[in-house]
Amino acid sequence: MAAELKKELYGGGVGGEDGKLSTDPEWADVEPVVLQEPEGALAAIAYPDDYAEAMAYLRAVMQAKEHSPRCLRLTEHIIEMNPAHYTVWLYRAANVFALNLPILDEITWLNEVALQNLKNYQIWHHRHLLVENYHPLIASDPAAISAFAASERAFIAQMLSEDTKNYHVWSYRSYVVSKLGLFDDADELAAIEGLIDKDVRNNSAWSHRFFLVFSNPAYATPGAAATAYDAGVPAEVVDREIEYVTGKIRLAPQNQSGWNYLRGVMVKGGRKLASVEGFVSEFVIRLGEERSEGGKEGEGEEGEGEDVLSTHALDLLAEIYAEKGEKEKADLSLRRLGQKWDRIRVGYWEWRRKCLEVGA
Amino acid sequence: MADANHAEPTLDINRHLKYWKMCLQAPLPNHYLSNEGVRMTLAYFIVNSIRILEQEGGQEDQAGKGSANLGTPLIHPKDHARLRAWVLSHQQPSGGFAPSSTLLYPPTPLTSSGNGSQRDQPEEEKPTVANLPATLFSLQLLALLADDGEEGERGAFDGVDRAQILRWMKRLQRADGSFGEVGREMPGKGWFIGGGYDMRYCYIAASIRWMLRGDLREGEEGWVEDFDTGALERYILGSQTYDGGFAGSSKEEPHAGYAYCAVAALSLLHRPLTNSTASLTSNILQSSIRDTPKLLHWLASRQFVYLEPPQNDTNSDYEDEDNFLLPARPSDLTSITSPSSPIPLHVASNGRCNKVADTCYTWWVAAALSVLGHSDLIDWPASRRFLLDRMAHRIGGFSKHPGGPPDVYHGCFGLAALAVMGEEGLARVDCALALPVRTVGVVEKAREELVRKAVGDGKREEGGLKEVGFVDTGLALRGNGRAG
Repeated sequence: MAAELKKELYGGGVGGEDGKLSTDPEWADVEPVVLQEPEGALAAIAYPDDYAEAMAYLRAVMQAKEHSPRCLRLTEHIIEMNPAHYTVWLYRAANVFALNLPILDEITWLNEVALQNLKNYQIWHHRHLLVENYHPLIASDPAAISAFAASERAFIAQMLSEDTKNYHVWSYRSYVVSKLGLFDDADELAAIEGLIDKDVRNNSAWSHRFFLVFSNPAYATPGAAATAYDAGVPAEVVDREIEYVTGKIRLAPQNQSGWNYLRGVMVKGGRKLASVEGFVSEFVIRLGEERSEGGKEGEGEEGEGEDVLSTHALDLLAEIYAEKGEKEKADLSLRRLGQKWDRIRVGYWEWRRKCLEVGA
Repeated sequence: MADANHAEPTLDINRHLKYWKMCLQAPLPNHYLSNEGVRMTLAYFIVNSIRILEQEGGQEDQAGKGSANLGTPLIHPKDHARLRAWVLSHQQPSGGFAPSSTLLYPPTPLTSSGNGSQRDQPEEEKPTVANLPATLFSLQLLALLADDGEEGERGAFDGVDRAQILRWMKRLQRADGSFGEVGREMPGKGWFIGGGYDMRYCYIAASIRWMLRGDLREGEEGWVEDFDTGALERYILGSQTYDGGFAGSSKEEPHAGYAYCAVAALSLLHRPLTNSTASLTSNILQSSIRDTPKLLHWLASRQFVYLEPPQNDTNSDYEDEDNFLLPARPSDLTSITSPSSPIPLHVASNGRCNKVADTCYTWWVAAALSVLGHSDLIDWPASRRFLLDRMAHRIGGFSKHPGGPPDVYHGCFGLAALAVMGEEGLARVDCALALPVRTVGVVEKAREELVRKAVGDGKREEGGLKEVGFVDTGLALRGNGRAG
């Protein structure tokens, strides 16, 4: 992207030879607004003197509504010390817009800050705001959109390589997909499949895939609920997703991400849950055949009796039985979950049993 | 599910009070610097925790229970006024509260040369530094720091510019019904609502509205145009995800904190103005949420059996991956969860599927289920054991991860989780407002008083100087014109 960012704007720093703003000739005309903690203050923080000094100058220039290169550098200085201060980010954005700076330069600078502050979300608000203002400039140029999409994807990949489940990065990713219209971009789906191949339990990746597939404006009904059937989704898409997710469930049957995804696909496609009964039954063996006198309870061995390879399969099986009107088998499934296979949720499974009585 | 093989852990109230005393009296250490921009939030965690631990000034004596509240309360009643004044000093002329003292402009020139020119600027032209979370936490603090007695409680919101806050908050609502946390005039861009698409701000808006608005009807004095509650409700309901949870929007991954914010916000939009803790709105909620069974499924699924990490790397910091050990097969867990197991069972909660244990998720999940009237879906004995055995720190407070240092955020929500589930020795906590139940009563009275004054002031402005009595306001409050 941009080669060398101007020192006047980026990385030039603030402060005189001792690093203090008070000795910097550039700031000599500003009277810092010094904060005096009153008696009775709560949650005071023992912050360093240079932070206090910078904030005193920030108050002064913010109040004077000054927007200038030195103010931009002052925000960089404070962000280096405390990247989580949203007010400082907003003031920075105001400077970027007031000075009419190239947005891509600001994004380039931001990439480095983001990589140094993985858990920070103010950075993402800032990026979001920049993209909102950059997009109109390139919206009518498919090549520019495509280039921007590629550079954003590369940056996102770099961030996710540090933390594959970073919530802010994934939120931003879904925003970029919507904003730049990347639903049919093969690279986007391929990137997600790569992440799922790496870690089949990466629920963030599964969530993004669901969004990518079922919110695609090419066929999805606008405004359709994520939890409801959408007649617009083609049957072959539903089939493809069922095949994909069942393959991944076989790799890790006790991974709930896959099962949640499967249910979500079935609902979106308006499919009867019973249509996957054969698959689900693979993970539940001889249901109810283990008797309480068996003595195997608590030993964690399969023996000849009942075995459950996935509690989520047994959970879904209960729903399938209920859907088919086989109330007793549904009840048995839920009982076994609460009694043995998933005891910590016995309250939930008992509630489900009650629903069975009411609902049937 | 307590069993005879091992004694249940106890909550050491004195130890927690010592931790909070330190947070109250000494400046927080330098590593809190990243929270400097949200200092009001930290203040709420500190005062709220003390109130939960002291059972609100020690009025319900806990003699013999080891409670430290028999002595001098940590926050002396004579300090209430001073602390409230500090909170109020963050109020912005154009509405709302600033999140941090470092953003405040001094009320009088403080610098030696102080030319005072800043004071010449008309108030409304000053850039506002108010944000939505700071406004909620300020109001909560004012209620938590109310003086005892009827007069003190009714006066808890004295000095709060109710109408201006409500007007300002309305401007933070986006066209899609959601809320941002701040509003700014951006050079060349006009009014900008900042803060991302975040269910927390939706919750906070619903909470502030409940705390301040009252149900004055259009045309009455003190009435302020409401934000679009229908649009907010539609936005929240539309943010349910395919697996039943809630996210910042339905495009994103569901998150327990957001799920709590969604259901608590919905409950607050339907909450009665008075005696509100007596009547939870779980039925209304369950009928409006698109898929309640799936939501309950998702929330119940946040619980998992906590397994100790391997002992070989005790020196390393806990990485996120280290404390989520997923058993390959369900049969690996059946002996651990068996009632006859000799080892006490620990149940943690995560915020997202396949993520790690964290104290605050025990709160977000337990509180969300409580709002929905379903705390019976929590394995509370094992969750409580997890908090007290693994997350409570030896110096008091709770940590984020097992073995970590305590911090005010997790310290507060660890206590709130215990309190909302009825821990003996702690104040009862309102699951939707995250405040002691008694403080909720203060909010109701303080709001009533603000509304009464608003009506009175309005009449005087008209020049009529009519004495508008309590009865009129009371009648208005009992009207059924509440939106939502």
